[in-house]
Formats: sequence, C-alpha cells, structure tokens
Amino acid sequence: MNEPSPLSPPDPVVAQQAAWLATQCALVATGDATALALAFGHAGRRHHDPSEARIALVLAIPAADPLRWLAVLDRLFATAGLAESTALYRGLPRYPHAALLRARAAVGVRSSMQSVFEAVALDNDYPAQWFEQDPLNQMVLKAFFLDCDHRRIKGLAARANPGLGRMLSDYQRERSAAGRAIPDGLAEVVAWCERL
Amino acid sequence: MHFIDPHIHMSARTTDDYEALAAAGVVAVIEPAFWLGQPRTSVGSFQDYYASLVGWERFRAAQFGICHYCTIGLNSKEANDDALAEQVMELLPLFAAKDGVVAIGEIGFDDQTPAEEKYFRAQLELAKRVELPVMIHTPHRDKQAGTLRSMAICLEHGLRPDQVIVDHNNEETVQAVLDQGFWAAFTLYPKTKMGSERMVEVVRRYGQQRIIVDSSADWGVSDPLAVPKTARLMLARGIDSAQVTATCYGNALAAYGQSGQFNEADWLSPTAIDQRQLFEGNSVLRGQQPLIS
Repeated sequence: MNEPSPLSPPDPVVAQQAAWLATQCALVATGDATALALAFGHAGRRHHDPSEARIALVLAIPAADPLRWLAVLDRLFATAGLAESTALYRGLPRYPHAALLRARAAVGVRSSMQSVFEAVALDNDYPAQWFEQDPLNQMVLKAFFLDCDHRRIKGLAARANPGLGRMLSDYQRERSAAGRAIPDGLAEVVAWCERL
Repeated sequence: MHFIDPHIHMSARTTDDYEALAAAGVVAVIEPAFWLGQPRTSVGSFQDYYASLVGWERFRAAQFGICHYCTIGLNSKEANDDALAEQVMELLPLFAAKDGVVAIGEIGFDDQTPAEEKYFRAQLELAKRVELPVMIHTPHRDKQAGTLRSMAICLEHGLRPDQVIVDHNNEETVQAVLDQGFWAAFTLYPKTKMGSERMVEVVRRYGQQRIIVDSSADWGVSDPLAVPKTARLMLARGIDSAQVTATCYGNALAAYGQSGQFNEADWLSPTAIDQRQLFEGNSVLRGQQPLIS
C-alpha cells in the first residue's frame, strides 16, 4: 500500500545534481571553457555518477569545428587525473568525430595504468568499430596479458582475424612451454580466428 | 598534539622530511603553487607542475602517512611574463576544481607591477567562481604597503575577509590584517622574516584569533619542522595549549576548511599506509621493504 509508485519524483539530491549538471552543460554548449574545466573537476564531488557527468560535459562541447573540438578534448585528456581519464576514455564511442579519436584511443591502450587500458578495451564499442586491425590485435593480446575477461571486449568475434589467431596461438604455446596456466577464453578466441 | 603546516612546498623536499613531519605530529600539509627558483618559459611547464601537485606529490605524501592538499595559482613573479601569464590563466580552471585543491594561491604582489595586479585580480575572480578561499603572498619589499593594497583589492572584488589568508606577515603588518578581519599567517624562516622566538611574542600579544603558523619550506634554506618546533617553544614559554592548537592546527583547518575539501576525518580516520601501492605504475621505494600500517 505504501510502496513508492514508479512515477514518484526522484530523490531530491539526485534531482539537484541533475539540475547542476544541466546548467553546466548549457554553459559548456555556449563555448565557456572555464565552465567546462571547473565542472569537469567538480563532477567528482557534485554528482553521484562522476563518470557519466563528465561524459555529458564532453558531449556538450561545441563540435561544429572538428579541430577546435578536438583541441578542447585533448586539453581535458592532457590535464586529467586517473578517474577523469578513465571517464574520458569510456565515453569514446559516444563522442562526435569518432574517426579523429583513433590516436587518442591508442594512447589509452598503451597506458601502463590498467584502469585506463580497461576503459578503452572493455565494455567499449570504440575499438571494434574504429581500430585498424594491428592496433586491435595488440589490444586483445594485451587484454589477455592483463587477465581481462575477453567477453567484455565488444565486437571481438566479428573482428577475429588470422593475424590475431597467430599472435594468440604463439602466446598459448609460450605459456604452455613455461608450464603456466592458459588464460580463460584464449582457446575460444583462437578458434574464432581459425574458423575464418 | 596534531599539527597542520598550511604552507610548505613538499615537491622540493625529501622523503626524510615526510618521515620527520609525520614523527613530529604533522598530519596534513598544504602545498601552494609557486615558482621554481627560475622562471618557467612555457605553459606546459606550468601544466605538468600543477598536475604533480594534485597527482604524484599527493600520492607521495600519503605513502608516508601525511594528507597532502594544494593551492592552485599563478605566482606574482611569473605574472610579469604577460604572454605566458595569459596562457596560464586559461590553464588554471582545469586544475582549480580538482580533488585536494583547497584555495587559489599563492597570489598577490612581488614588485607590485601593473601585470601583477592584473593577474591578481583575474585570479580573485576565479576564486569566487570556483568557490575557494584565497592564499595571499605578501611582497618581501614594501611589505606594509603591499599588504594593505592586497587586502583592499580583495575587498574591492567582493571577497569576505574571512575567505582570504594573508601570508608572510610580520610585526608591522599583523595589526592591520587582524583589524580588517583577514586570516594572518606567519612564515617561520630560520634566519629571515619571522623566527620562532618572534612568533611566540606575536601570539602572546595578539592571542590566537585568526593567526596561523607555517614553514613555507621549499628548495631554499628553510625548516620543514618549523610548525611543531614553534609549537613546542610556545608551550615552553608558557603560551596556553589551546592557543598553540589554534595557531598550529585549528585556524588553518577553519580557514581552508571553507573549501569543503580539508576535513579532519581525512587524517583522524585515515586509510592505512601501504607502500606497495603505485601511482601511474611508479613507487616511492627503491628496493626497500614496503611499510604497511
């Protein structure tokens, strides 16, 4: 009888945070660089989902001029802390001008910080959609090296290729020769590649 | 007794200093952005410096059990390179809202040039927008006039006196700063400016209200233990322990606590020290046994 209706108003704090974010996004959309910079930092303390809030701010950056847009995004990346970087990389498939972001995505894949690597490689549509074959193969191999769950690499089955099969088979043999365990799923991905 | 050193340039200090600070009871430090002894020549140098204040240095301090905070700003000396200063101003908002930034500072005057005034004012506006207190560096030369001028400009920009910490005070400036309701910080250098002996007399004369003690230790001759040493001297000279706590801990907490990011809980219920941790893949250790508390 007292159960909240599915249409009950959202928690006031959440509503307040959403209003804050909407205001900031509106300022960012006018090209206000200071608003973008400050809100991007404040998102960690003023929003319950900092990662989503930061992606929303990026999506509000005026994008009519692709190179100016890219310069603004590059500056956010260059000055980002770890959580901020992770959010920026997670948003890659949702940004405009996706084709301009290949080099940036490759930087994330080469990162020595596992959370940054995972933000690009796992649960992210960008690599399968936009990576050339070689960087994609390197990313998949690195994911196995880092013990990531290959099922979280989106679109992997569709991008399976003989080159990847060769790299993963070599890795499989190397592990066996050293008497070390074969990562879960490695054989499955090799099989996808060999079916081609 | 716990201490806060609310002005210390830890990037220029060694891990021995971190160990000594922790052993002496310093629980938290604030590292103001300032200059590096020689002028920077490109905006990228500022960018990497600010990134280290909110990144590596914060991590390094935590590895020795010290809570590290910083202030972000363009110092007055380097404000005189107008073309570069413009670029730094564009950079500041990208760091001012990051975690652990508790004020805009240290800003103010060095030679009291028009360029210094321009960027001082611009940064006061930034402080209002980002809702942070301000840390003022008062000039070494023409100090009295520079201090009065700095406070007048803060008021002109609509800042409340209690949002502004005026640092590097001496016996000549303190009365005016306290009379106007600003926080009055004292930097205790071993030989120049203020020494611990003089500081004891300042507290004896003016009491505890809005007076803050700091070391400003940096790459020059300075003493990172100036705050705990002065506290001990105050106690030995019969200053009431409540006054020692206020000037060497509580007032800094109240002043910079206005940022919403400088909370006692950070050090009273700290996360354990774990020197096995890495920052972007890097450790503070060089093969030593990691300390884990």
